[in-house]
Amino acid sequence: MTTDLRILLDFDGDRRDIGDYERAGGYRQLTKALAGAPEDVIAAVDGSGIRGRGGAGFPTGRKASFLPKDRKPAYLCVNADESEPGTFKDREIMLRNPHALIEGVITMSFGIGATSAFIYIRGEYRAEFEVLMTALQQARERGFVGADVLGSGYDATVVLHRGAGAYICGEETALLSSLEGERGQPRSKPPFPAVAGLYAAPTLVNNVETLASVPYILEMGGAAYAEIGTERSKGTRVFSLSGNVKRPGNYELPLTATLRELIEGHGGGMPDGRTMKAIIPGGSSAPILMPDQIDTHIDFESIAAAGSMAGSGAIIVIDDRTCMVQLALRVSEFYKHESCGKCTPCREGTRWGVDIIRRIEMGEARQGELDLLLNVCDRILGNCLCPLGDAMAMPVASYVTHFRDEFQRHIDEGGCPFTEHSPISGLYHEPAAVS
Amino acid sequence: MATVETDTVTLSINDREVTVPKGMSLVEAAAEAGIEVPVFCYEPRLGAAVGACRMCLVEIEGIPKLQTACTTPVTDGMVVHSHSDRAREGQDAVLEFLLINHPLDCPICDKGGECPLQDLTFRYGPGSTRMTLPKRTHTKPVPISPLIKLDRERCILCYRCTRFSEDVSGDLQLVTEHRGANSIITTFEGRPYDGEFSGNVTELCPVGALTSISYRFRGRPWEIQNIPTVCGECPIGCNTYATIREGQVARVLSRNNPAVDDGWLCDRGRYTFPSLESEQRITTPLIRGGRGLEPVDGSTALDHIADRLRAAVERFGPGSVAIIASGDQTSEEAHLWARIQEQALGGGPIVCGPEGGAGWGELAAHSATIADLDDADLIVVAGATDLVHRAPILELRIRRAVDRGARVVTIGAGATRLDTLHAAEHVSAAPGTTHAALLAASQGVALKGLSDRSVILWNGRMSAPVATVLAHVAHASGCRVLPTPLAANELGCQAAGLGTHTPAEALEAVEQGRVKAVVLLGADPVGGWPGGDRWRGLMERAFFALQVSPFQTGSSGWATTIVPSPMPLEKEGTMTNIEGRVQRLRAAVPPPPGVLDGIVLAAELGRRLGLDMPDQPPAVFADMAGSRAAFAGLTWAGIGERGVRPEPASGSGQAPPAPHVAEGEPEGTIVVGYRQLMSGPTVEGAPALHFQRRSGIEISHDDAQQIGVATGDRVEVSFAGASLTGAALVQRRLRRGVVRLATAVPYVGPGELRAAPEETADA
Ligand SMILES: Cc1cc2nc3c(=O)[nH]c(=O)nc-3n(C[C@H](O)[C@H](O)[C@H](O)COP(=O)(O)O)c2cc1C
Ligand code: SF4
Ligand code: SF4
Ligand code: FES
Repeated sequence: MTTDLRILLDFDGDRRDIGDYERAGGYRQLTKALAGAPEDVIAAVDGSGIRGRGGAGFPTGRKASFLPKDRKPAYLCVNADESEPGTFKDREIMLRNPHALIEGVITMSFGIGATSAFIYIRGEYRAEFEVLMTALQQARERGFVGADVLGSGYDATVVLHRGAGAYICGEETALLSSLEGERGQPRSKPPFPAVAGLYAAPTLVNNVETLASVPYILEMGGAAYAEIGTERSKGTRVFSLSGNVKRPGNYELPLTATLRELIEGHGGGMPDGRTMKAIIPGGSSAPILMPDQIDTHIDFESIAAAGSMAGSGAIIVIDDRTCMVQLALRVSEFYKHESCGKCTPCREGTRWGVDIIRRIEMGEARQGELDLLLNVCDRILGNCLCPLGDAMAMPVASYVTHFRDEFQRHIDEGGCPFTEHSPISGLYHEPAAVS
Repeated sequence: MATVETDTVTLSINDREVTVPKGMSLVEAAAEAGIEVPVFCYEPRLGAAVGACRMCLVEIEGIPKLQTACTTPVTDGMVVHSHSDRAREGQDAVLEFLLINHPLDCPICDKGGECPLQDLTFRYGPGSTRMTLPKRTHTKPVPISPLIKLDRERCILCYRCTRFSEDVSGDLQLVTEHRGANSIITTFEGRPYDGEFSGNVTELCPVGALTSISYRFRGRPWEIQNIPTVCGECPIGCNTYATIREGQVARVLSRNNPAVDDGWLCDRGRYTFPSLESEQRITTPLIRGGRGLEPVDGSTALDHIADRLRAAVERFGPGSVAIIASGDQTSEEAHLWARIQEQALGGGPIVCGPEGGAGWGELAAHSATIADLDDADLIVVAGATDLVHRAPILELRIRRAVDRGARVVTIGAGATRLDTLHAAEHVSAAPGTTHAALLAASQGVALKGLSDRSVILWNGRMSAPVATVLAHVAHASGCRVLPTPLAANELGCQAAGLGTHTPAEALEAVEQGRVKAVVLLGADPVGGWPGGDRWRGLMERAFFALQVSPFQTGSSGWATTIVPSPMPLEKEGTMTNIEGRVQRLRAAVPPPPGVLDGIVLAAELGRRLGLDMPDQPPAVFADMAGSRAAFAGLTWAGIGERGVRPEPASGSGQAPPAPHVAEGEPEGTIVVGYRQLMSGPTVEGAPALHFQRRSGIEISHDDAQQIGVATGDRVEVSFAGASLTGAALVQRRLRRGVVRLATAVPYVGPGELRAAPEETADA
């Protein structure tokens, strides 16, 4: 099975310069699309079967078709907030292939009849922001962005907006609130953004990787793209591999590959002398898989069937030195810190959960607190306004379930048996923030 | 076969079938079926449900996760369980999360006993705590204004208060800071919450986090009594409960009447009750003798008044007594005093309020209800000042109508809050010519689309020319009009006969020597009406000058006899609000000892003057309904909890006379002096409210440039023979040439503006 098919990043170096991009065939799909009907763009995307690369994996063509056709204004929002721990693929796409994103954005905007497109970029992505700014300027000079694109009569306005550091603003409705100048907090759905999104107008929100794929989909044709991958997971995906592997980095693979091919083939496997303890297969909010599941395929369904989720495509490898309680603390502290505070189970439950995990790690927990922790996770799970609460509850519960003995040892022995050896030891000392 | 109903859906909740309109939320549908779904953040008056607290989790068959009933619209065939094990587990979980950091200081919490958090925990929550870790703590309680304290430990972050501030009142002053478990409610930049509607958040708060300072630690729910009454502070007549503890009013709460107030109150209505105990109150009748005003008992006073009034009529002839009323009386009091004037004193002039109410009759056939604003497509607000000063609560209704898609056109001097609504258009008009601008706009493009779904809110003085314009525009377009009276029961007083003359007509009678004695009912013409000098002249020369009033006022110095009167919270009777709704006032507390009931006072006086007058409110009401057309057919018992609005006279249907309005615009500076909401004796008697007073002299940007001043610089305004110095407030949107300021005496007319010379003292 070929695991070296690349589409988005099928070149060395970068194509920041519009000349390089155009020489490689760039902006031709936009030119073609503008000459045709907007519906053709959506039909091709729909036909490709591509699913959103931001986390939820929703079929992109289907989402675009939810937008009412005749309501103006309508908007396209690009989710470039990439903040799920372990995920760093969108930044590489923006740094190396920014024009693919811009071409995808304009093409998709045209497809849905958007009056403006907004790129919401993670605040910390300063370099990526600069690259996009320059790329946009070049595209504007060449007539791909701005009024009357290439004489088609279609006006493409693109606004680049920098976030201010909140993870939750990557959640699509919080992103919209933040863009509107409101507090970055999710909104209850329905109404979905497609019906009442940015400024209550029909809005399509898509991830960077999703949109950057659009020119390639149009180039290959939807049907050809749909040939790649499995029945319900099409195309290639850029996976961010990190953790205890020899060669961490972004690897673009067709969705037919396995975790083993990624971790051992591309990542070079475990560092010498280390053995694998667990795999986080879809960003830190995903439940762990065990080493014996390494032959799982990396498409959406296979990972779900294995008990986790493909999420943002971030794969983190955990080695045998790592203390799972410390890992739980790191992960849960992140989500507690990033909880927006709008809904009760996430706001209160993540704080409580973190406190219990810290007590376990510090050896202060009493018997029974492990069950309490599991129950707190269970009471968060599925009860929140947005998936952020689950993002803390799911992984923590999976760590406890798979490594119950290890957690129990912390309680029984009154402390962490790994302290000195665990690579993330010491990172947890920061006390709970109390206002 | 029966036709299929397409606008309803049928679903099952806890095995009960219920058929409800499409689009309804599950919470409402459950309520229809008689099932309570617990809620905290859900409050339909705040707009669309937000799904924040997660208290309303229910199980819906076919959907794996629990769903929030408040955000879930009903669908046909839905099978819902709110009491199943899974639903109860979800509800229990949310309550546990809410309680883990709650201080559980219920024994000393003012909300205790009437607290949704207590009640829902009792019904749906855990019986014990599993939280053994230190709780989150905050400094508490912190005042967020002189009226309200916030206890952040009790706050459950339901965001009702911030949503009110953002979406209902639009003042944007309450905000959330930080995030996650560290989120706190606070005010914008920590400044005091200074908005006319701030007190509503204390009622919205489902816990004891936001409390009125005046009620903190004053009572427990089981030792209080809530008396249903209506607010007597403005002509909206918001429905209220007065909470009584140990014979005193301890707080005022709203009593939601969707047709009137939607459950909101302004801070004047909510927080002026301490004026019941104001030191300025008169508590005994006083008769001026050789050594000034001397206290006497009630019957001595009544004998004396009857004697003097009889003497006036005997000496100077019938009609020589003028009654000058404020318009704050109950209709029953008004009716009895009008009878005294008509039947015992020979029918002298009666004035009701400084605006004197000419022209109202012409408009009856076109009058709008408050609720008409809800589905109006176009709302015209015409007037030179902020609506909040005359009809505070209507601002909230207009904001909501705009949210629902209504267009607003403001006509006036500009720089009002409604001008800044996103759907607002503005037509500039020089103060004093607003009605002419309205007429012109109605014939031009600005008010294109004025139809029977439109409402014109006249936010200013009513007069014959204004009424003619309004009647004309209403007749031509089919729109309805809602003029704002100045006094709380101006319409009821007029309808009860108390108000036959305009102030100008009465002054003319005085100056022609026809009036020799005067009765002031609540009114303070010397201190608070235009033409104060002329009124003082009347008082000074009067053969007899009686003042009936709860407070000492600027007119008291010239009264020869003073009789204290009760305040609205001490009265039984009715008042007629802005839309003609007759509403019941109930005496929450008795007046202070020495203060005669208003009806008894008039009835006793009438008896002494030979009239047979009832002295019980229901009997007076019946007497009034029997003789005054506006009350015909109404019964005391029929008024009910929500009031009644008799169908207004339908009018002839003929075109009203074409209005003639003066052409051209006034030249030079026009001064607008208005009575601000937070003024008058009741506000005077409630010091905690004083921080909400507006000060500053509003001037336009152009005028500021011309005289070389900026905001904060001192300017001097002269008008009506006096001059005032104060800080300038430069308003970009204010019409050039207009100077606007809050004054004790309303004024619209020419004046002069200049930069104040150095070192002038404040006026
Ligand atoms: C807490 C949270 C954080 C998220 N962060 C991101 C993000 O950083 N980038 C992203 O593309 N999607 C993120 N998502 C997913 C978005 O809500 C949304 O599903 C996605 O942007 C849709 O684009 P797609 O269909 O192209 O994947 C996040 C979701 C949640 C619940
Ligand atoms: S789950 Fe967390 S982040 Fe999402 S809305 Fe609730 S509090 Fe905010
Ligand atoms: S203060 Fe009261 S109303 Fe405001 S968020 Fe807290 S609990 Fe809700
Ligand atoms: S009442 Fe439904 S979420 Fe708060």
